[in-house]
Amino acid sequence: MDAFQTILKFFMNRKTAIGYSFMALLTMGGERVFSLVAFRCPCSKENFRYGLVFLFSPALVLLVIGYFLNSKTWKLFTGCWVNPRKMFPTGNVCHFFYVFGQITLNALVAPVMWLSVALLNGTFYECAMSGLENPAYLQAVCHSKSERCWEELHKVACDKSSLPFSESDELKRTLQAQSQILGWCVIVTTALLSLLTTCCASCQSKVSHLQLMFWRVYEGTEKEQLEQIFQLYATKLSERNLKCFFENKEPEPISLPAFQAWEDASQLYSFSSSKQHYSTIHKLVEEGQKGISEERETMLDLADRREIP
Amino acid sequence: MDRLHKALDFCMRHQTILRYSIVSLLTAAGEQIFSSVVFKCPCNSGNMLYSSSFLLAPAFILWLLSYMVNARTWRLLTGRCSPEKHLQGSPCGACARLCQLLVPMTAKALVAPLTWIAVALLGANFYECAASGSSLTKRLFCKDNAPDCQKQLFKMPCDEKLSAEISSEWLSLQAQSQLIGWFLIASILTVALISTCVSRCCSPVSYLQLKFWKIYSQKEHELFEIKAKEHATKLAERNINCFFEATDPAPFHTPSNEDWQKISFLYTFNSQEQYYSMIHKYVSTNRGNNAKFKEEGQDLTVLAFVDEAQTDVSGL
Repeated sequence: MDAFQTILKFFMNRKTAIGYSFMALLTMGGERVFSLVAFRCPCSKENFRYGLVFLFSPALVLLVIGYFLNSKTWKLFTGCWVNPRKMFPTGNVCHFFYVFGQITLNALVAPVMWLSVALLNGTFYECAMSGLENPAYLQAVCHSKSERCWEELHKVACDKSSLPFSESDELKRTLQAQSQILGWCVIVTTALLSLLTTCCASCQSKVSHLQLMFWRVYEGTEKEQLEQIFQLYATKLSERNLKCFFENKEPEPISLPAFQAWEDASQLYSFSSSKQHYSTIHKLVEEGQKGISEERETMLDLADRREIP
Repeated sequence: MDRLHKALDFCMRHQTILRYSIVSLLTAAGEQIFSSVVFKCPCNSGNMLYSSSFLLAPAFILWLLSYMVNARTWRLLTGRCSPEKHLQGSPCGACARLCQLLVPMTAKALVAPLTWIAVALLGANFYECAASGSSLTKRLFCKDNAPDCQKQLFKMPCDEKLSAEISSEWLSLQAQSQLIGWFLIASILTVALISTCVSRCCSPVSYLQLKFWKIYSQKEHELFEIKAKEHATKLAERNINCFFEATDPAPFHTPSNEDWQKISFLYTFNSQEQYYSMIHKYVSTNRGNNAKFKEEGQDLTVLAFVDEAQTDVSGL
């Protein structure tokens, strides 16, 4: 049992890396399934639109799912119609865009993975670009080929053109090569940008390295405990209510947080370097409600960065 | 169960070697998948660009990933540009120190990309495609400058008979690639051996003490995680109970921001004192208030493991 605990702990410690690798494998698997089962290049003038739709629609769907699955989105938007001050607090108009930018960056991981895998495979790009009717592009691709290349490029992807095999094979290879080079460019650019953003964020962090580590642990623990206590109180309250209903008794008092306390606890957390609070609830408990309404800060809140509901 | 325990202990003790072996195996597997499934030499003037992107892009990504996974990077970077004054020392000294620290970190980060390049060269597909598009090969193989010669060279990776014909006098491109691959592996291993010898040679710390030190760093890191979780659980319990029951919070001592800053500094070695980590130093110098805490020490490559003990840092 002890050994299994150690193995489990080993994997739990690396759950982010494992999560990303799993997402990458899922994307690769999904892309293979799509390109083998669902994708049929029309080999006509519609190639370009068809290929682009297959390339970008799954990316869009993944982006939307990424927004849905990030709990920060819901923290930002819940109740915004009733209380617009939540999204645009006085004196801090950029707060909304800053948080929305963070959420978008997180949600962009899956679509970029899909795009890179799809481009490295080459099928969608090959189909799309063989239908592009831009004279400059056709000139570049067909420049040392026969005249028929110009009219029959869109049939090359299905091997239905009347070009000799060596020419059509070379055209296919050229298009695939372009796609794969583009795919590598996307991967390298994304990796570089994410390293630079992470480094900048770390550099400007007002919190030291080990404290950040503790903060992450605290955030995980607080979330687990909140779930447990929600279950506990919900059970207590519903038991009391149903007992009173069925047995016609007077309800005994159970104290629950007030409406305003829930509102305050649901605010997105902002770090303040002069205090030492690890979450909104921590701040609320130590400073009372006035602490929340006097909130001034801004900095990157790594504490909320990777929440998944 | 006992055997599993023994196996686990073995794994824990030789973590570094296992980690490097797994990285090499994954790189080799990745290269096999790429070269058989994804890589298709276009056999035209784009050969060089295409193969270079396959050789260099994964190497670059692996290099960036190696930096991100190294805990020392984050220890070095976190808070360096922060407006908080107590996080930094003098700017000039910091620059020189930064450079001194970056060199061994970069060398360590280069292992995975160089492994990729070596394995890719051993596989020979990428090099063959690249060389058939390079002007050097054209000068060597096309002595008579026939106009079709370059076109034939481009088609070499796609046609085996042509390849045998053209390179009959010289080593085939595949053989060249494998030679370069082996040479690269041999030089990496030699440089690694020499640099480890030099850093051990210059180490002011004896062999047995180093061994103890490594074990201490690991244990301290394990216990840090356990204690941090316990502390976080108690603090979270107090906060949540106070929130639900609308009571006043009981006083709870948690280390202050300054205390955390003090133990997050990079470790420096001072032969006069015998501190095995920043936490040890902090605790032995009156919670960092003693003048001894601020004494400068040396950055030793052989003691890099002290800061690298944390693996799960950036969340990776």
